[in-house]
Amino acid sequence: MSINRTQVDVESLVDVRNGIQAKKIFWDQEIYDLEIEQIFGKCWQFLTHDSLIPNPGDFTTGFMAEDEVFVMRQDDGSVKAFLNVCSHRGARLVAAEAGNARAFSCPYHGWSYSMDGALKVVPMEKELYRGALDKSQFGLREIRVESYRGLYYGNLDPQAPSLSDYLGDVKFYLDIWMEVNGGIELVGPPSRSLLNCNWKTPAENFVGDAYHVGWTHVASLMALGGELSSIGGMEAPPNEGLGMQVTSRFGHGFGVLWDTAPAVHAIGSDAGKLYREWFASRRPKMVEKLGAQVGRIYGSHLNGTIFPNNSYLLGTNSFKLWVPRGPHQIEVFTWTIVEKEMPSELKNAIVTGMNSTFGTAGMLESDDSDNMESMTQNNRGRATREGKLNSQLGLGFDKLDSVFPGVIGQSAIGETSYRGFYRAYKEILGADNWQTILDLDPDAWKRELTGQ
Amino acid sequence: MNELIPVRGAECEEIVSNLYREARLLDQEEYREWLKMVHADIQYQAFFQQLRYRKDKRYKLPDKVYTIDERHDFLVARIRQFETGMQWSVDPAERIRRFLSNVEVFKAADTGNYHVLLNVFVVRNRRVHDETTYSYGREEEWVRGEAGLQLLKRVVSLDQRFLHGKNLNFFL
Repeated sequence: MSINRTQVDVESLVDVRNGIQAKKIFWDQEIYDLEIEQIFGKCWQFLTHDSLIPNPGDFTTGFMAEDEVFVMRQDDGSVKAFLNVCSHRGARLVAAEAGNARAFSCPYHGWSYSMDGALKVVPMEKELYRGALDKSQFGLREIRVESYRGLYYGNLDPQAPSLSDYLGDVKFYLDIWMEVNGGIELVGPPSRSLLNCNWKTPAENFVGDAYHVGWTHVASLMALGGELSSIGGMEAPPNEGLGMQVTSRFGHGFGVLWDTAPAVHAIGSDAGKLYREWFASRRPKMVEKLGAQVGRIYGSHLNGTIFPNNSYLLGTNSFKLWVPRGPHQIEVFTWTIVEKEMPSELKNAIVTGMNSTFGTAGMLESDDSDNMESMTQNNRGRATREGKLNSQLGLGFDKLDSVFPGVIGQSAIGETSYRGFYRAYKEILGADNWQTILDLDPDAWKRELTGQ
Repeated sequence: MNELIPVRGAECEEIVSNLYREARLLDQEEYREWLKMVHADIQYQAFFQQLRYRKDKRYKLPDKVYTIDERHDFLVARIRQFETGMQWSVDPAERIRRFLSNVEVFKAADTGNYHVLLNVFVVRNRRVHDETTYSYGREEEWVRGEAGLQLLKRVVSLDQRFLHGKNLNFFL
């Protein structure tokens, strides 16, 4: 039993019906500690993609919240993940970020592990331990791994639902961009950078904030001149037909801006030109397969988050992991998404264009960073952190739809997905285990969000 | 083979003072004046390098991530964002100072272009409390034409693997 649960009144942090959250969720150490235990201890977190570990022995290192992990392709093609920590005295085992290996030796005393995490070699074992060390008890801590469309996620909780069940309603949409289109690859290595913000500030922004686009990014959009330049400065408020928002049971959500997938790839750039040609040729095929209404998702821009901390922009093709480093800091990992069937010229152009807009030197990424940081750091002030956060935009207009799964906000701009994110946040943060969550009425979350 | 000949004396001094002038124009946000020093065929790149084991030859994927790989048109777009007057992130203005050192100048025997190696240290102040520093190397090529010396290619090697300075939304 954690001491946290006695210190944090989870119920008071999120008011689902009224679209309100407590500001201190971006600041308090006790809340952060509870998140690490209850959210990052229970939820699926992104690790790597097939394209980054194609061969047996290929590995990448990374994080599950503050735990260091590595992921390795096994000889039988399967993928295993482990804590990147020697089971002897706890030193970091793998120092490289990626590579190919048959075994790893700890740099401290030389304990060596095979690809499957078993402890194989202990230097001078016979002479020093004289048969008293049971090596079978000191393999690496293995982490549960499952994949979805080539994306590997890890989970520290053996009781968690499958990755597929966890993704739930958003699979319907992700499949359009990650399977029906021929599949995706992630292009690495990732950029890595630091932001002095709480992990939820970018996660909530990506999950469903089209509101800021025309304001925060006005200068960048005007300079780039794509399909979104018209909403720069909010001069032409988008109407209901411009997009929609979607949220789901476990907090994953996204926003859609219809027909604007390549919008931030400058029209005059290689990416801008080639990508617009690509959609013009590919979308009719998707519409043929999926029908006009659903097929339109492909070629539209999606900004989304897979709860808790994995975000993406489909169209811009940025793939992000917001790794928490305490309540007030994150490490940002950024990869580029490309479609498998794209010609290499287009793939290269998209990598370049993604970096220019949403990489560490990206114009639009940079626009956001001040907001992420001040939303966090302002809570240093006691009066500030006693305040409330408002996500009421579109409240009362969220609906169920006969074609599109999830709870739907029917305009481009709204905070439907914020509300869904924090509804799930509260539920998972406050639950001792997955069974408690899974025992709930599976449709109750919809009623909570739609107010029905 | 393109032979590179070390450049000394007044010719070297000219190149170095040209680098200082470029840094000053950028520090002072004289972007349009700076653009005159940039060749129309500019190749402007900056990369991070993933950490790999020295002996690992079996992992075949690239170890560099080009966080900037831009041409003239995108550099102009970057300038335009500042000219809109609506780039909130630099209003109030941020203050950047570029320190250049370890400059080595070579001249290509075939083209006559100058190849320059140097180290750069940047101190960036923004808002009230936000001071960040950057250390990186530059390899670049300058060409002499009717417009004077112009930057044809710049490759920035970023030393940090994990960028502490938030972003690189400034000219390196």
